[in-house]
Amino acid sequence: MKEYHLRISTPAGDKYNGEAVRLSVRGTEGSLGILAGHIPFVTVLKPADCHFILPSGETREFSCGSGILLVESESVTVLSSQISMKGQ
Amino acid sequence: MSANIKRLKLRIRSVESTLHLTKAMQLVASGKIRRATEMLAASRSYSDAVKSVVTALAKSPECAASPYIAGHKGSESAEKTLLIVIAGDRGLAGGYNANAFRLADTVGASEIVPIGKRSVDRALSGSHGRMSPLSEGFPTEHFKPEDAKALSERICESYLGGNIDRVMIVSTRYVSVLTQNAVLSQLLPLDENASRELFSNRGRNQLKNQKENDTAEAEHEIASAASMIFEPSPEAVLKVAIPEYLSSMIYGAVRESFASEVAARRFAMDSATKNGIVMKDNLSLEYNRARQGAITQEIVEIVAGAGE
Repeated sequence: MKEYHLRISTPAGDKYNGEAVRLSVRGTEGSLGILAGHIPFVTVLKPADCHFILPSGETREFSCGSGILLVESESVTVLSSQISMKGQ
Repeated sequence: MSANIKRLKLRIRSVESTLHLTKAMQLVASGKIRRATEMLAASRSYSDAVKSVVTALAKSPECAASPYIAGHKGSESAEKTLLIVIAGDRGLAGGYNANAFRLADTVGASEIVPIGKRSVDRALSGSHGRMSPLSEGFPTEHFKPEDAKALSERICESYLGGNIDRVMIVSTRYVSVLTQNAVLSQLLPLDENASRELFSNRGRNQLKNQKENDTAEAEHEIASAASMIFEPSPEAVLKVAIPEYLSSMIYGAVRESFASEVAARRFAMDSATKNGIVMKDNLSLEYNRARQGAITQEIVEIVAGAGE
């Protein structure tokens, strides 16, 4: 699977900044799965348990508060003031 | 003569104890600089990302009518400005607090939200504008993202309710360990140059370079805004993005100001320590001269007595 750059950012710093192959989050319109090459768009995130898959196949889970998802041609950014990575 | 020696000894001791204090404060400030700049870098990357989304939204025609962008046009009453003033929790940081307050005095603010103990004390004195009921008198060092979020939500509510027409912020931009500039920025309503610095005490060349950079950034943003899709609609994204934007700008400004405060304090304490050492050396010289003079005097008196 093709990979892209994922940044999960909070005001206190980045919770994750690296490559990923898939991101699953919940937007206002429903659940979203973002793969490489997705059309650039911006949407509002709803509080939910989310996860992303690393190129190695490992799944990482995180809890996300309300925020913004910014999908650009080469990178994806999750912006929220409340994000906590599970298992950290 | 001995009274003079005693006075000098007391002054040397007093300068020494002041030196202990300035050295300790310098060490504490040096220790805090690293952490403060790390936190600053983290908040900058977040606020830059939120700012890029908001700048793109501000250019969207669907959002043009929003009070966040258009402002409260048609409001007949005088413009009410809410000014957030970020200063330090303590003094002894050179001109850090005074520069921020001088800049805050140039704005005719109707309400003030102070952040930092010095700023709170100034607002409570009531001589520089009314303290806003939205304020909680936050300290700067332990200011958390949650505090910024709660404050920004209260400001947005008050802004949409028509109680405020303009939101501005006075903070100190951290350029380097040696340079910090007090800056005044407008947060709401947003204009095309979202949160541009309206006034700063930087040199002309720096301002010129900033303008060139801003133009290049604006061109890049226009290009990216054109290709951006907002789901479900630009208005819906704007509604969520503005409190997030405000909170990130406030938190970022507090982190910038705190890093500036620590750097200014370290520099001030470094100068104080150097001056203290020079003062102590001069006093020691004076003391030794006086002591030597007293001894010589005593010998002369003894010799004169023996000769009689």
